[in-house]
Amino acid sequence: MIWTIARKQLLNNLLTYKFLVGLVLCLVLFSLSAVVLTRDYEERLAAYNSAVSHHAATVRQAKVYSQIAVTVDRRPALLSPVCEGFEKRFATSADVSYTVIPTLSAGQAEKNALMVTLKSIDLVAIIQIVLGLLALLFSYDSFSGERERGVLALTLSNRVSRGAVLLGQYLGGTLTMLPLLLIGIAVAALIWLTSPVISFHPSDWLFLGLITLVSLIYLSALFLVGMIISILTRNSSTSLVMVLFFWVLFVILIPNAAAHLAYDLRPIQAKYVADAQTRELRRELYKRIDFYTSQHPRPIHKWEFIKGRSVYSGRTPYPIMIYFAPREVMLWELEGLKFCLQQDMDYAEKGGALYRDYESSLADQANIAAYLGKLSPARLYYDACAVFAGTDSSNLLKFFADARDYRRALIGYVQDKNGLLSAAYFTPADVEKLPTTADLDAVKAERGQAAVDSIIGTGWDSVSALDLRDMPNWDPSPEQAGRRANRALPNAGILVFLNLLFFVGAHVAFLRADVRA
Amino acid sequence: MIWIIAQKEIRDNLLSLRFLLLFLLAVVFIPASLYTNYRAYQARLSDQQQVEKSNREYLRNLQVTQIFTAANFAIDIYWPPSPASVFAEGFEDIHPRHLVVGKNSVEYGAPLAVGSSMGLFGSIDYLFVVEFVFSLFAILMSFDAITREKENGTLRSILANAVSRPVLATGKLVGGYVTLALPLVVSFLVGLLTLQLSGMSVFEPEFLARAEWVLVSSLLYIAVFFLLGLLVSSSVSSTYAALVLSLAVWLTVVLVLPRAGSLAAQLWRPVKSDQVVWLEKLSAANAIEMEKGKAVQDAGLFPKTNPSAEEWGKLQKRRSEVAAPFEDRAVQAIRRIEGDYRRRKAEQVDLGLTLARLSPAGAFVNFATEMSDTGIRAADRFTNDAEQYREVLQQELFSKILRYVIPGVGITMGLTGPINPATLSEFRLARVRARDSVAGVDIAILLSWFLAAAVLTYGALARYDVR
Amino acid sequence: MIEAKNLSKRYEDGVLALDALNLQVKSGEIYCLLGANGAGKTTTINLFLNFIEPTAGQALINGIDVEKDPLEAKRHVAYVSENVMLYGNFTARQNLDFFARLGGKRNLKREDYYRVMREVGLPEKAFEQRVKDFSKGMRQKLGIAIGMIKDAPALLLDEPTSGLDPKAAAEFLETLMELQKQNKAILMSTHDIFRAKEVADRVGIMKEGRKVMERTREELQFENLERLYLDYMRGGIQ
Repeated sequence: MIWTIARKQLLNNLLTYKFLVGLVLCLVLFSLSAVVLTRDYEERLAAYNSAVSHHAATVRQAKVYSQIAVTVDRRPALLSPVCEGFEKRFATSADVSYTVIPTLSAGQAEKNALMVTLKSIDLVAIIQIVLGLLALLFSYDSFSGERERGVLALTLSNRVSRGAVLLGQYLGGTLTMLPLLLIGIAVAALIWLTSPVISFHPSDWLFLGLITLVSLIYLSALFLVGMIISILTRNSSTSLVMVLFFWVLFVILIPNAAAHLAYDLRPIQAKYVADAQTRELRRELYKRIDFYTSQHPRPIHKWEFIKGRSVYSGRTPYPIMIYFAPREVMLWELEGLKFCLQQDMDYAEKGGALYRDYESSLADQANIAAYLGKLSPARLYYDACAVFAGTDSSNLLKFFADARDYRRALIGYVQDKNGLLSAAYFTPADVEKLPTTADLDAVKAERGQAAVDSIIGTGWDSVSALDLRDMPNWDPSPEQAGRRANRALPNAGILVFLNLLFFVGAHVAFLRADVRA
Repeated sequence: MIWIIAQKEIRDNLLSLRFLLLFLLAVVFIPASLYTNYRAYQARLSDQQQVEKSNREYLRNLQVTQIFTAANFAIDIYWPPSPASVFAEGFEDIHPRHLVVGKNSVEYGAPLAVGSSMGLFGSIDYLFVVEFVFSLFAILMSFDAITREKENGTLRSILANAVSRPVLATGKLVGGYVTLALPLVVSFLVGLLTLQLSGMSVFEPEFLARAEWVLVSSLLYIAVFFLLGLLVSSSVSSTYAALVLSLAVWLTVVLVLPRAGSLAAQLWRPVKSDQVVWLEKLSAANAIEMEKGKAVQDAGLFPKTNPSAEEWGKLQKRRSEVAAPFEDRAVQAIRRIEGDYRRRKAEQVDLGLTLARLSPAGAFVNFATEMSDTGIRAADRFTNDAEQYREVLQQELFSKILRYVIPGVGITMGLTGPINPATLSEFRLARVRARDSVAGVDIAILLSWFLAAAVLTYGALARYDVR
Repeated sequence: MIEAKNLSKRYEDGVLALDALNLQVKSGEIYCLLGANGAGKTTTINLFLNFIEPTAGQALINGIDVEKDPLEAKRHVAYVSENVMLYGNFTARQNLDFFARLGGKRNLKREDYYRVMREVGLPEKAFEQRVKDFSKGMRQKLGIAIGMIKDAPALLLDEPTSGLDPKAAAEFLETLMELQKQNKAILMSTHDIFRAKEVADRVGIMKEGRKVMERTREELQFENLERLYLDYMRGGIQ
């Protein structure tokens, strides 16, 4: 009996304008989205690949440890065309060096003029908004329309319980949504797979499947809401208005209002305030360095005896690279390095702490917005999908945390090689064995320029690159599939619960409803 | 006769559920969005003032030794928010709030707050509520205006009297629109009142002028949608078909068309990505730096012995003479690359904008963001002013810092002249008057849509089968 | 006076809905148009109201050609349609007021409306009640009241007694005869043979777009209208 009703409802829906228009709309939107976002992904992946090789090449050229500065890149998430989440909002690379601590920074946002409508047309957004609307439009007259036409009373004059009718209507309706959803996703998947750079691993298929499943749960929840409204209102035009009101309120307004409210409840300083505070810190750093310099005056530099020199400032002993210099100069630089680099790193840590505060306040705010948004099934749905796609905020924040860990690993590595606060940081020469300026003057006087030149050497070109084969690689372990699925569980769970709640509610309402026209 | 029908429409609508719901939504969300945006504006203003203060101090206390980072030296400038931004926040993406003015370029700085709104639609501001919610409800008010009366039989009852079809159409239009505009105007006024009570000076002439324009354009915008719904209703015979068609129309006009516009522009006029351009600039600059360094070296201006103080002065002067042409070339090269990129990007953006503005939603958004001083032209103005500031700084600061890459030797830096940080110019952004922000074209586009829909509606209703 | 001269309507798909109808309803006369569904009764009325245009012939109201000057013609005719839902959110009086104004009666007072509603038999408590709560009979009565308040010389009624219980139908007939006394020309399409016999001055039977028979009241005293009707329907007598 249930199946008879379901089949009736399904056929009824399939023969309507609604379904046809919905199908066309789905095909257009899904393929549009897939085409645009695939190209976008291809571009981002290409940029990522070129950035990675560019950065790798730079590191390999390091001749002294001061040159080790790595930029780590974040690989674009494969499923970002499905659910964009925070993907584009965060930077795709982070600079890692001794004195730069990677922190959250914003991405180069799409400078697309007049992105006035959907900020993203990823698949999940289309499902959330357009298919959500369709689900409501299929269900708003499932009871009130049948009641008006007298068909409901007719059905119930047979040997069928109200619960069965309810279940039948529900099944028929959701089965109508199913082809729209599946066809849409299939079309999109087809378009993705035609791209040469996109290849799905088993875990990607798994997550795509999970996203499809959650989409169905979401659409089912909305369908049930439409059914409840249909049962409770007297005529179908009233149901329609109420259903559209619900859609506007819960799918469009509340998810966004939640973000606004969160901004109010947990206001954060703008990032540039943190920037300004950092600048204060740097000023302190410079003062200290200046003070140190005043206590440790610079020995006389004879330029003819100095080769391949690059420093932060001629007046302070903070070297970057020095190929050759007389011993007293080198010692001055070395002692200076030990002070300045250490200070710089300390201040970098302090600055890093400031930014981490900023980061965690952002995370707090985002969390509050997410909690408030749980009022809306649409937001629950999107958040769950973002987790599945690997584009939720905590996954992206992990990139920066990983970058910070990598920095620590790098520093540890350099320290082990005794390359940090030592001569190896900035010069290949053995400082203790270097001649002084006086020595070199003597040599020049006695044996001439050629002798001096042979002592000094030919320059950086003759220095080979460091052997960095055992340097730790940037290889952040991707999150395990199981853990990721787990993280989406709360939101998905609430959606399932809502389904049950709504179904029970519909049942209760229907049991007491008046089925006469 | 028109007034009799209009009066009936108004009364009927005021008693309907949809009017009630629309009124509730409007009167809650519009003042709320204005208020929240006002708070955000205040926060941004105070943050920005704080930062500018520290900027000024930093410039004033700039020690010459600190210019060891001068190669990457840059000054941050911030866009001062305008009060009218309570209406339309604009988008960080197209309206940079923070620019970094450096020797070689003006670049985007970090945006305000990452992730404060993970909105699919951005954030809720007044513009959003009107653009999406009101337009939807406008169509909802009118989509069954004719079909419902036809199905009820009242259409025949009306037309059995001496009422011509145009008269009927006008009565429906006037009556329906009044009930639609009422919640908008009321909540707008409530919103302004809320702002006034929160401490904003609403009656300041500039702000008031902008507010008026925003209201006028909003009223025109929803009139277009009301007419579109009426057109659909006059073209089909069942409420059901009218519903499907109206929603399809709404989705197309509001969601698909504007997006399609910028998409088409990207396909038509593709532009190199930022990455590529940045790399181009870098390699051009580096190449010239190398040549410059070599020239200075060849001119023998890197002494092997320690020069005395006055010799050092003369040396610096000669160095800058030799370096000058290279500096110029570097600046030209970068300007050329940037200019080229900017021009192409601007072409693409303009094309996308033009296409998007063909839709009433696009036109309305453009108009409202211009009026709120958060639109494309405001963004352009800010960027242009930043460029000009960079020219000024080039004179006062950047040209005096010279950085040499000497092949085989290393990097060295020097100053060609004294820099007095206290006299460095500050950045000033000129304000635009309200009347100069009026994007007349958008109003024309909205009016055209209105007139076209009106003409089609009257035509459709004249042929309508009322039986 | 309501007159049709060779009035014909052929649709685009070729269907001949009305074939050269000739008909005259004088002032003070009640003319009942009988026929099966689709015989052309409603088409006739639609042509008189300019809801559709004739492909041949003329429809005249008080001598005014409806096709040439519809607005003027409509000033002289009142229309009571079948199954009017009216404006549910309005009260009976508000509905009446709206249509009265449309019909040109702008200065009526509340008492005038009450009077007309009483005349058609609406209960007092319904006057200020919302129409969406009305029963079908009450709505029909209100529809008639709307037709009456216009005080037009011609009256077109489309199946006015369909769905009414016998008592309400009888009340309606009384109202109709009152209107006849006011010298109005009344054209009524109906299925209700019984009532038609009671109230009509003349009766016409339509079949497949043509008026196949017309009888006066006197003639009907000697003939059995029901038999005639059924015979015509079954396609017997010409």
